Amino acid sequence: MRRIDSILTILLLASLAFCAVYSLNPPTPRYFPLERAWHVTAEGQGPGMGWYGRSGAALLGGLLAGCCGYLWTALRSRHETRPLKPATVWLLSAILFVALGLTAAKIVHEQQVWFVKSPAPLAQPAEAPADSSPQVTGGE
Amino acid sequence: MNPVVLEDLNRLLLFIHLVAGITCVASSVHLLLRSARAVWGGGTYQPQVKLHAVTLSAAYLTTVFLGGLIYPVFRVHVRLAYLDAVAPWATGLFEIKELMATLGVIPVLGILALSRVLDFRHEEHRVYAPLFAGLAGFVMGIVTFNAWCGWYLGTLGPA
Repeated sequence: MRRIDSILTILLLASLAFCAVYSLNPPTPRYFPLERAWHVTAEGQGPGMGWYGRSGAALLGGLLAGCCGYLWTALRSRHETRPLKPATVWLLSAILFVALGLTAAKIVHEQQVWFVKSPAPLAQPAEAPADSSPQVTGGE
Repeated sequence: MNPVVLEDLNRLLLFIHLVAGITCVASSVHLLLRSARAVWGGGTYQPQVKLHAVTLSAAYLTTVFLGGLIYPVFRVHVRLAYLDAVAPWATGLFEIKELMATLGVIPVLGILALSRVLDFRHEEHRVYAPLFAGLAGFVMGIVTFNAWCGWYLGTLGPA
């Protein structure tokens, strides 16, 4: 197995593991910035941040799968010296892009709740006049 | 209320995050164009492809890391205090941006690894050229979307 074939194999395994963990989104520690504390459950006070735990778990999964792939290709290279066939390279590349595309679609899909939520006006300060509720503007 | 972690350094970190983000956009566009030219026009751009791959990797990882550092301040002072209530769609846009950024980490590392061994002039390597260009296009899509998103969310505010 050539070095470039090994890289494709490792990249594919790491990406598949990353996409699987990222999409399944298992329970991971959440950071609560107002407390400056981590909690696995939603027991923290104030806003929680799940991005760190989710990203860390998925990257760890990708790293472990990549290491397994490295060991497997290193062992295989001792006995197998033929390069991957072009059709195999195409197939593995297609699987990689399908996994990445599906994960990207999952990310967009799971955030749609924010796009259908009705905005609420901010609480007015006591001394503020009643007609000064903020309006969102964009593209300025 | 206790200050959020790294609140004092937020402006500096945000500025470096911006510079690294701009570098990401520039290097990803250059990488895609050079790799596409190398695929269809021969291997004359081999050194440039390697240079852009290294630049993109360094800038991308820096941007994601700094984004993680400045996220708590944004979460408390922008998202909690304003976006979640007044512009929930903007929160959704920001969440997509953050999650997409992590999705690009392994493809960026793949681009870096492939660029070290891929020789577009080598006939046996040419089968890998579409994979490399595809990864470059995927990462460019993420960084341009994230750059637009970061700019656009920065324009939101009370009128």
